[in-house]
Amino acid sequence: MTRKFFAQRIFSFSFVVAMAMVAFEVSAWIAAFSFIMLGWKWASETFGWKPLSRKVTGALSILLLAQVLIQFRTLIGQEPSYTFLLALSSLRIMDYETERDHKFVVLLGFLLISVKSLFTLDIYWILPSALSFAGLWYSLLPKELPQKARALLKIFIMSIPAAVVLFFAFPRLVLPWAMSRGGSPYGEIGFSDEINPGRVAELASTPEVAFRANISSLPLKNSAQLYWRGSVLTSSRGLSWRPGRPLLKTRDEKEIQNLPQYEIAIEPTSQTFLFVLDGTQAVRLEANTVLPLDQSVFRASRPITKSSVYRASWDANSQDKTEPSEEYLKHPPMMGKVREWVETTLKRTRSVDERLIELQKLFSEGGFLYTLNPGLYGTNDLEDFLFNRKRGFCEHFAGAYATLARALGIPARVVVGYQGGRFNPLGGFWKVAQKDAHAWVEIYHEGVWKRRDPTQWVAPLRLAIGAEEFFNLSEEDQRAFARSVDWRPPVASRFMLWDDVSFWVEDLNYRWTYFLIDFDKSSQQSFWKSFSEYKARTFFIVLIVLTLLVLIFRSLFRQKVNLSEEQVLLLQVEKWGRERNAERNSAEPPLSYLERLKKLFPEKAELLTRVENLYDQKIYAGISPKESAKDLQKLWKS
Amino acid sequence: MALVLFFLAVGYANNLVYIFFFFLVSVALTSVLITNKNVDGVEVENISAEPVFAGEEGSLNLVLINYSKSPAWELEFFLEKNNKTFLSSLEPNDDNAVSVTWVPSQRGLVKVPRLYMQSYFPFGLLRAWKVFKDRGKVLVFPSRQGDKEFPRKSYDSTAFDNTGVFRDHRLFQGSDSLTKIDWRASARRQELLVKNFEESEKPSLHFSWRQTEHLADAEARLSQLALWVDEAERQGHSYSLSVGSFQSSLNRGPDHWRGCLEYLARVNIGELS
Repeated sequence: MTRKFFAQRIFSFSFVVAMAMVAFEVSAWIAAFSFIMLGWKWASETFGWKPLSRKVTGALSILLLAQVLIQFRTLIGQEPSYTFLLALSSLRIMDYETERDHKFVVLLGFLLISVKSLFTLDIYWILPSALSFAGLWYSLLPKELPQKARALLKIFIMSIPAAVVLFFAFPRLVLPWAMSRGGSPYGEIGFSDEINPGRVAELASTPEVAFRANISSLPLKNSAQLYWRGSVLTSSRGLSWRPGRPLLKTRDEKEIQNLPQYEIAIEPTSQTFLFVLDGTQAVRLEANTVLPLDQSVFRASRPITKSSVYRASWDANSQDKTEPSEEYLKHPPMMGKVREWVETTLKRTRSVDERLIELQKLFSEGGFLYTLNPGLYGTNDLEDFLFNRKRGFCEHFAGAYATLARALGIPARVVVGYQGGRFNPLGGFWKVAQKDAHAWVEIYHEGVWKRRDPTQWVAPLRLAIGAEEFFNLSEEDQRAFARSVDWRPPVASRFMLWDDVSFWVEDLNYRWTYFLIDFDKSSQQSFWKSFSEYKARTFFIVLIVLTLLVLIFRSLFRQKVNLSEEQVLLLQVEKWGRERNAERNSAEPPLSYLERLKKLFPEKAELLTRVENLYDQKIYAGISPKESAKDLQKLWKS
Repeated sequence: MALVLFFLAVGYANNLVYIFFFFLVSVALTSVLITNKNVDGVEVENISAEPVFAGEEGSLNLVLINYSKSPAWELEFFLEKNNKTFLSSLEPNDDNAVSVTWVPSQRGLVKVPRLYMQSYFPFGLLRAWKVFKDRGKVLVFPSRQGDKEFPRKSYDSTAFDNTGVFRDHRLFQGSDSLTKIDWRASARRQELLVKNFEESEKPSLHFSWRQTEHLADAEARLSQLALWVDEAERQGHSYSLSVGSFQSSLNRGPDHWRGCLEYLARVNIGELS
């Protein structure tokens, strides 16, 4: 029997959804190729276009393999293999014809859905994945089956208990050769440990989530207080900065034990940065060693290739008192107006405090504009930035401030990471997005490294309301209100409702991804440990839940015809008769049949008479007989 | 496929793939139960056979009953060494008849071959099956083989069939056999009358074991007789059969045909030599 792909609407929709989900993650040209193939198949089934022959699709497969090999230099690894898988799936659809093809394509669909899970754990993908999954199973049900959706739902409900037990009980294997998604030189989130003019602005233009943080146990409640350190840059080239060579730092575990903790669920970065709040003393990450470095930064020993959770200990009173080396005063040669300003400032001021005030004045009174589109600057375009164009993003202000501080003899370094975030009151966590990417400065003054954020003087509103809300403002509003700390954008009621919905969805997503990330071997062990500790209570609860499930299940799917006890008894007798070649004819009334049986089997005549009487009284006369149908059933069985 | 997903889940330590994999496995396990249940409650209550000649395709009629409380979907039936399948579905506590073709290889009372009932319901991925064996015997006529031409000696020269549909009477002619005179009608009409029939009369045939002496193999001789009997019945001849101690009357019709062939099917060759 020949099958048509697009004639089966539910099946084709499910498979196309599965393909589309993976298409988002692979090379655009492969995604385009795959959907062109689908279009061709559709046209061949609808308008009678000539489909590609199996020979052509075979040749295309080989060409695709060659192309993937040229593009990725390998077939091993997530990107190349799944790119190839998507392309092959589309060619398989082109060949789709037989029952066997159908089953193969369904299995391919299952594979595509699970491949999507390797790219993202977000709950937003669960709905299309579930729809696609159900649709693929649905397509396997026989066409003649009535109420197919109901039958499938029944099978799914029956499958849930086993799936739950398997999920919690199946031992999590930790393979030493565990696969990873492979590294990207730029990182999944685009964060890098250097700043070039425009680099952070470019990063802050993307809407992706960087990480989510639960800091409910810390006394930090305001977004302006949240500075998430990623990397410290010590080598100045003017506006551009590079990292130095951080050293490993040892920690005293006893000091850390009593400190409050917070958790961060980070998205895959393919990098080793672990973003932490200023004041963080230690970080723990499952299945990955954490390297504590000086300058209060932390690195994972291996790139973070999947969503992960790490826990950090925080100390409100911590101070970095590491004495700076000469390196922290190095800066590129000052030229033109910058040199003039430095020389003038040095002559005019005596103390570090005075110089710091001059520096602050330069930024707060210099007429700077905080913008994501400052235009292009060269590596050491300090003069153009500070005295001519005066348009910049946080990286320009931080880079320029730290270079000028060094020129004034104050040890300084640039810190890159994220600032603020969006608090979700439902889930009690902060969502930090790429838009929150930020750069600030630390200066060594009075024996301690202190934070200075020039953005605070140029656009304090950005820190007060957060990057997401600030960049949602029009350019005019950004210019007009950047320095008005107390100004707040007007909120329409529809936005309030939308905010509630988005908070709820974000919270759900956070809980979902956190559960998926955090449920590892140790969580499994502790789950079973707690299960055994509360054995009786748990058993009781599980029993109640199971009973409820069974009752719901039965009420949903039970047979519509409920037989009375008398009818069951009659069926019992009929079965007995059938086994003895005395079948009841289709038009034979029950009492006539019982009479016939009495003649055929006189040894059962007495019992048959009792059955007859009971049936007659209950069904025909509608009166309650003395004898119970159940008793007679037992008697009949015996 | 499940193995690929398992390695993806373990390799990437990805709980979402684990969930996906476990649910897939659970659905597969559930479908195992459903597939098994689908065939479990169904019984073959009776098997009867249409008359069949050895070496030819015949039908076995199955009476199925579903004792289960749930319907049995897409049941497939086939016989041992025969891949041809036949489909049926049954409502709860319902019965149904299905015909399954078979080709018996030898005559006589033949054991019904093993009957397989299988189902791929619901997803067509897994198979559950049930085997029905020792379900009695069915009678198979000898194969219809040999020369279709009736032997010359089988024609009865003295007796012609009057078994056609009566049309009218005609006057007796000198060439007519005396046996063809309708004496009762002649007595009423006071002249000799002979019956006219719609169809041309066919000669009666007499088949005997000796007419097949030219065939060396006893089974081949039985096959030849079976072919003649069947042909004679088909062509509308009256015929009789004489094999060993068996001597049938001169007759025709399904009962006569069946009686002759049943004897040929059951006869013990040892008794004939």
